[in-house]
Amino acid sequence: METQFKKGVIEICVLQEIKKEDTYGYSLVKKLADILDIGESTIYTMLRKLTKEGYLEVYTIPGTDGPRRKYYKISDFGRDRLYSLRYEWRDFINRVEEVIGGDDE
Amino acid sequence: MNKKEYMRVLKQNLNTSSEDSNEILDEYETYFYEASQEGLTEEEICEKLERPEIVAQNVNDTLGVVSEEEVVIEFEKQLQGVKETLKNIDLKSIEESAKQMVSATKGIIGESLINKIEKGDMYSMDFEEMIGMDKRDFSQGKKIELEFKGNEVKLEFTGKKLKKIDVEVISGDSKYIEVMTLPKELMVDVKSNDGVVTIDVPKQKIEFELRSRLRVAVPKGIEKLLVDSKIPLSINKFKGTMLDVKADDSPIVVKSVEVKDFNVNCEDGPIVVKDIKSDVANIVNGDGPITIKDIETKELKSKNGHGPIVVKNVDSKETVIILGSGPITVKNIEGDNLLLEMGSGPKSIKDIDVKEIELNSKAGILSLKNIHGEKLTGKLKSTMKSMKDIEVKDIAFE
Repeated sequence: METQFKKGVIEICVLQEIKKEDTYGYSLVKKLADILDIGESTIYTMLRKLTKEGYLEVYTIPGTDGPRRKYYKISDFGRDRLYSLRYEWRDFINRVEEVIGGDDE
Repeated sequence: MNKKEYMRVLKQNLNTSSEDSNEILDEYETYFYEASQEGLTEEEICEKLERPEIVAQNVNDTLGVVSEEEVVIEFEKQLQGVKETLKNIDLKSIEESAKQMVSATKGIIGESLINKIEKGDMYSMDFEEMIGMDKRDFSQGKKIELEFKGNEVKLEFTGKKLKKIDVEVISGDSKYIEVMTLPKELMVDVKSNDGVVTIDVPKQKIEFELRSRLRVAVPKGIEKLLVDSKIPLSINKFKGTMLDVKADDSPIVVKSVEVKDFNVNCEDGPIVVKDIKSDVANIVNGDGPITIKDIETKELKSKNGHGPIVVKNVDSKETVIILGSGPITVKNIEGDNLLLEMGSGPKSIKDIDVKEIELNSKAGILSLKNIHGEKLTGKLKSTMKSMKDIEVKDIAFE
């Protein structure tokens, strides 16, 4: 897939996962890297980018025996962003479906 | 590849702002930890991860390389941090460690210097050691006796400047002028003519390693002693009506003198004047260090081109010190009037009990401590002053 397109998809998935429940980087990598066929660095940089843009908030919880864990939480902006991205995505899929639908040869 | 190597390469290749880089490095640290908890070795984790160069490239592309503007912001942040740190610096602890350093170096640089540093008295020099006031036994030397009449004598010391020869003038107890040499082989030419005694010390080779001495004992009953010297000289214990010393750039020490009229005039020499009782005391020097100490007089005047100068323990109705430039230390002065004309260089003025004090300074730092009096005035140009324990009714600086 083209990078720009893929990046949009990753953004939706990351926001969606975090909206479901607050999560930390490693767990997100484990969940998404294989499904989306991407390296961990893409997820980490996405998390950083979304945090800087204000769509995610960060808080830390001290680890029981390891290093502290950095949790990501979706912000109100992030929620709005996710809804509009999701709408765009579905709209886009429907249009594509119109073009390619019903041709299952 | 192990974790250390992986993190090193990653860090090295990251070129985003330090905040972004730290966040990313932090995530990778966590990754290593979490994955190792699941039983993976560092090598296996490195296998699983993208290559650090690729990660860095990805991060740089997505988060942006650091811009010039960000560098400036980053720098300003650091500067702010430094400022904060400076605010919180504990000066006491610095002072403490400096003191520890001084005491640790005691053995190396010698006690006497340490004492001076500890007393804040760096410029107090004593040339007595340099000029050799140690008691030598002249009985082993040669003795020249000159019969002398009158109550006034002028001693002229001429000859080559010989570093290893110096002369000590003392009050004798005979009717002769006694010139003693040490060692015996030391050649001197002594002539007496009309109240002027010329002592010539020609350049000569002395086989002895030790410094040679010449001692001149002034006969009993001499009231006026005039000395003109071209070689290092000390005058020790003279009592009369007048002492007048002239010198070129040789070191001069004058000690334990009781006269009415006291004058020292050097072209450029280190001078030490100590333990003087007189009506008038004039000490003039071109350039070179001066120490004036333990003076009891009605009028003390000292004029010097370039310091350092130390004036200590003075009881004089009037004291005037004029110094072109260089450091000055004035301590423990009593009297009615004190005038200090000072140039640039540090000035420490301490323990003063004088009715009227006038301080003029052209530049530098002026420290005043423990000053008692009725009036304190002066012109301070480009001078930073610090004042502590000042008890003066009327203070007016321009």
